[in-house]
Amino acid sequence: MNRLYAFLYDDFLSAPSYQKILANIETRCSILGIQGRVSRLAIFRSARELVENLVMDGAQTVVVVGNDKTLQKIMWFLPDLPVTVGYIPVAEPFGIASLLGIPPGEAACDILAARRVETLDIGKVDKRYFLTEVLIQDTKASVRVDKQFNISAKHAGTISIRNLGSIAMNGGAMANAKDGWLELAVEPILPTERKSRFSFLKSLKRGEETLLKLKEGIIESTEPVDLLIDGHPINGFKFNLGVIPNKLKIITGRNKRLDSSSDGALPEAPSHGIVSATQGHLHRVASWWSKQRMYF
Amino acid sequence: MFTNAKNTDTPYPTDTPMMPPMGSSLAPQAATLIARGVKVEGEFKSQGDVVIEGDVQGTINTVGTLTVGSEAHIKADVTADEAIISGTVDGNLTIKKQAVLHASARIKGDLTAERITVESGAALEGKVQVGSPSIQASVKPRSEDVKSTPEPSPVKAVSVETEK
Repeated sequence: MNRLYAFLYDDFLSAPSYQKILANIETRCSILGIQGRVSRLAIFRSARELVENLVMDGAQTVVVVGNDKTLQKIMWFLPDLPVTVGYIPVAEPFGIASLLGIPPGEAACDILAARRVETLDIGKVDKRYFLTEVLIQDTKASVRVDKQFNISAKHAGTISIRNLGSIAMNGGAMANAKDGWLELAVEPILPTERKSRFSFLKSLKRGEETLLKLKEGIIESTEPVDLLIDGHPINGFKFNLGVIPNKLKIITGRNKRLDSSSDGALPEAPSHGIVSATQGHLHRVASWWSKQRMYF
Repeated sequence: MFTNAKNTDTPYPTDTPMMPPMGSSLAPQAATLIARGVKVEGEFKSQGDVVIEGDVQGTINTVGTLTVGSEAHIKADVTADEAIISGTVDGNLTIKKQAVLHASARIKGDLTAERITVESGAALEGKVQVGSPSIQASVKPRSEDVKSTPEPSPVKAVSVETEK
């Protein structure tokens, strides 16, 4: 057993349907010489305590086995620990794995063994880290960007602050997790009049995304807002946003899509600029389906 | 023979494609877009082109081209390299090169530019100063505030008030 590796299994993997795939993964890791101690997440067990104990026992690479939600369960504290993160996706959703260039199942073991380590930026909301994005849906909250200006949806809309990819807003513009910036996307809801015999009804339509970059910001609202931070819900009136460059070491595959060289990522921000150029026009085409959603 | 049998070895769909690369066939256009339905308040600065189709209050400062859409409402002093205006601007505009006012443009404030093009139907309430920018680089005060101060001597100064 390689003591440098520790495997963290999600709770749902104890279901019988996953036993065969787990056995295959363990066999493959054994062949590649990267097998290690296995721990399981559980409802009444502190994930943080579990991982800290693994690190104290000498683990230098913590491999998350499960899905994106498993990764998100530990991401809020993991960047503070001196470990490299590995990820073996075995169930959906695995959009993050896709961004990291990691295939699902035992093929991920080869990625793990190849040990192509990338250092990524990590976002922060108050004291909580996030890898992918913060999402606020149907909100009138505003975001103060780099102490310069406030931006909000006029009527209401969805605000997302992205560090890596665009997971929740499928089809949204990709964020660059290696540029030292967060990407702010505001997708307003627009009231539109319908031209039909039921024209007294007014419908609401999703508008185009406004994309900006920021290093720090403040989300503010006069009404309580619900944030989804890497899928984790939090409620409040005011939140501080920030980005910590080069904070998280993570093992990636060859086909990763993390930075501006990846297709669809936002262009590099100018080092001296407050607001960078974005590709709003690109997004008009790329997320056409999300704009067709109608609200009554 | 029975090729339709499902493979239950993997709990995830093996034929699920990986997330498709976004916009791989599309050339990105480097312009900051403030879309319709979005409101910005404060000091808005950009190092590139800016397209505004929403509402902006405060100041706008860009070294690129500012494009104001027909449904945009700007209540701000504007400094830009070039400007193409189709919407409503309430504030002074200092444009380094060319300002283009389309027919739907409604401007309430002073306009300073090296060259201007005004389409029939555009409305402009304020002073227009056209010529090489010797320049008035900073944003000028509003016309009503400047009445008591002596006029600068521009290369070519025109006072225009047009209504459709």
